[in-house]
Amino acid sequence: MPDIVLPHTPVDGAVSSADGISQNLYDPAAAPNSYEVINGRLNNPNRRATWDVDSTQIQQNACSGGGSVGATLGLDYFDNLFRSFDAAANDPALYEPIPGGSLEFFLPYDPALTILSWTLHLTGNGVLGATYDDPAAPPPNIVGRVYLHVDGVRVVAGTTRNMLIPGNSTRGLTRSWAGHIMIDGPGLGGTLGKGWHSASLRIVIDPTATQPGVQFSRVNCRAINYVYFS
Amino acid sequence: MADVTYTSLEGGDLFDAASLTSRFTGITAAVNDVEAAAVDRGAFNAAHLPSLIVDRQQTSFVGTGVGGNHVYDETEVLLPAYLTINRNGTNPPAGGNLEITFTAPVDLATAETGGIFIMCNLHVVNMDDDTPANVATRFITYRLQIRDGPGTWITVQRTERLLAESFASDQLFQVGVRTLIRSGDVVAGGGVGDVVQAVRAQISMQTAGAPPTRRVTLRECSLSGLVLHSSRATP
Repeated sequence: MPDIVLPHTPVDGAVSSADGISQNLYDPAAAPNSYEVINGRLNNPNRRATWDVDSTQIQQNACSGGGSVGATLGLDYFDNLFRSFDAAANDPALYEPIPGGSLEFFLPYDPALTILSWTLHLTGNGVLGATYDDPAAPPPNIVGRVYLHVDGVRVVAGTTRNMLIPGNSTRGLTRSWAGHIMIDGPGLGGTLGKGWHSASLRIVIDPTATQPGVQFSRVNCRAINYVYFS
Repeated sequence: MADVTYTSLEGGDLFDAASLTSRFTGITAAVNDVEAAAVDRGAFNAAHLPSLIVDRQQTSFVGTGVGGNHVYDETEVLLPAYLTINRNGTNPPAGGNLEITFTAPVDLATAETGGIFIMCNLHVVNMDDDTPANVATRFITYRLQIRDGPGTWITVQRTERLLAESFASDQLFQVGVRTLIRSGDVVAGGGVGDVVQAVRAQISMQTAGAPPTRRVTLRECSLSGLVLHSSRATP
């Protein structure tokens, strides 16, 4: 669709206005209806109808970007690591970020949204008679959990963002966990905008939880990934 | 930009409104017809281009059962029938389905839409009927469906996933699906046109054997869809 529609067209027999001709040639206030638009104001309407913007014409990472971390080395977490943890207060700052399941990333512009996805495999110590089932709405029953944190804040919206460490040897001691979440950026009314951010899987074991329960967990393979879209 | 041609007025040329207007018109046409060659490699960044995201929807839940489970048994669904995964684990679903509906129907045949990127994660606690002899012959199956313009649900066959049964122990598997729905997928699945209104995840289990009753227990489920922008003039 043509962009420029000049405001003044000379007509035979009519007195031409010098101001009008000048406005056709250069008038920032009349943009886009002035040749002034060639000073960096050309945009999509000026594009030839048959021209599809090609990926080679777009800067790398200009429309999307991402990264990931992961690790396989086994990490052991005992409940005494969380000795100051109080289930009633449930302070997320006392959760431990899991190396290989945590990353920091930079968003070069305000994205429409960012996707976080993760996977984790771990083993609980398993005590006969302990229940495997997740408490329906933690807290207060923390026991032993892994939570997704974004910018240091525990993501509690939706109980799919956390998992219970298994502790029942009759139904299995190991568990894999994978998930994803889309977080809106300012373009869609969210808050995850331009700048540095962090995402991490963080583990906590409540040392005061009713026994038998989970006192120990070994974290094996884990990874976390982010992808952002303009 | 197309070449700008401007014929200079020379001494003795007729200089009137028409001659001036024709010169303006030539310049205007050129500026309004910027061609691909006018743009260097990597000229555009996010500031020049529209958002890649035309629409996005997501849902996730754990079940309403004990421990966040939602349990399906053979009295509720068996192949070839499927059941939409739902918080209550009931047939028919009583709300809280693993289903997303886009803000407006997505026409994959338009220049604006490049495709719909779908992500689905299902946590499978187990499939179990307490009969070891049945283990080798039974499986769970999952799939994604899309709803076309007229409202018919279409199976995306490449998203079908199968998982074998275990006996008396939790499998604790993750079923992950990532796929891009593109123009043609609706018709390929037996639907009409190129419009997608919604996406859902379904479950079923193999028909076999005598009681005891088989059951499948799921927990965390997530389903997301991103409608991605395209620069194509034609699909």
